[in-house]
Amino acid sequence: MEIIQENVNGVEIFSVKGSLDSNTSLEFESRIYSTLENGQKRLVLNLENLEYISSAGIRVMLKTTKDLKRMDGNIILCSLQDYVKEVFDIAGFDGYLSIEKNLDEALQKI
Amino acid sequence: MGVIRVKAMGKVKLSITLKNRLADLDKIKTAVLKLSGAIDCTRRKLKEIDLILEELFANVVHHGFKDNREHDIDISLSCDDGILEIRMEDDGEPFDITASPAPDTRCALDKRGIGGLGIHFVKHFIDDCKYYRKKNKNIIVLKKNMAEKTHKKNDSK
Repeated sequence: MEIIQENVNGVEIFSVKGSLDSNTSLEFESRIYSTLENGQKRLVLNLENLEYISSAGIRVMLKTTKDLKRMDGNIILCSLQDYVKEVFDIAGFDGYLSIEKNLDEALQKI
Repeated sequence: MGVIRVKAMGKVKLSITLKNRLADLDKIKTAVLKLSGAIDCTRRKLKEIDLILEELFANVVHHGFKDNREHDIDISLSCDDGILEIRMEDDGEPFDITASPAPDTRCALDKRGIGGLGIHFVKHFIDDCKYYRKKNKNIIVLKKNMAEKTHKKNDSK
């Protein structure tokens, strides 16, 4: 897994490449939470190059969504591949998370 | 770590033994790669197999053992006539996957937990599921049809 992190107009964008599994999700969680600790409350997860996700990756996203809601922040996901989108749908996550088709739309709505 | 035997055209058997530590997840990823070289299936199906194996393994690592000792988890994959059979054996606490309740995926966000989600994924992506408890071992036997049905548009993914 690779994470490229950039800040565009106060929005923290995480571009995640590869796999979010039971091992790599720990690093993903740590990167997200160090960003939240720095006071950043608006996050976009660009999943265009995310090939694989398991319940461990979903758990991090659920936890982040809950915590940002409490902090009056926001998180939007974008550019999901078909497999990743199906896993979110099976998890019932489509009802909880904001998912946009592409990065431009995510940045407009965050 | 893995033994792969190509018995005849279309028949493949692969066995791995893992320890109850998440670092051994890499052995599952390697096994799925080996499987991809031995059978004819789409990358999409391989991701589903990867997910099934990871969730079964992570579940037993996280919840299967009350002691701090090392345990073996045996996984075998056999494919014959387009049907993949996944068999997992462990000597952990009894866990009947067939009796595991589905998570409430439509409750309010605040109440939504992550418990049971991995097993929910497993059940979604397999076609048959059996559980046995024999000689203090959990034995799970799953079957998955490898023929592409509804995901043809995702073949390249």
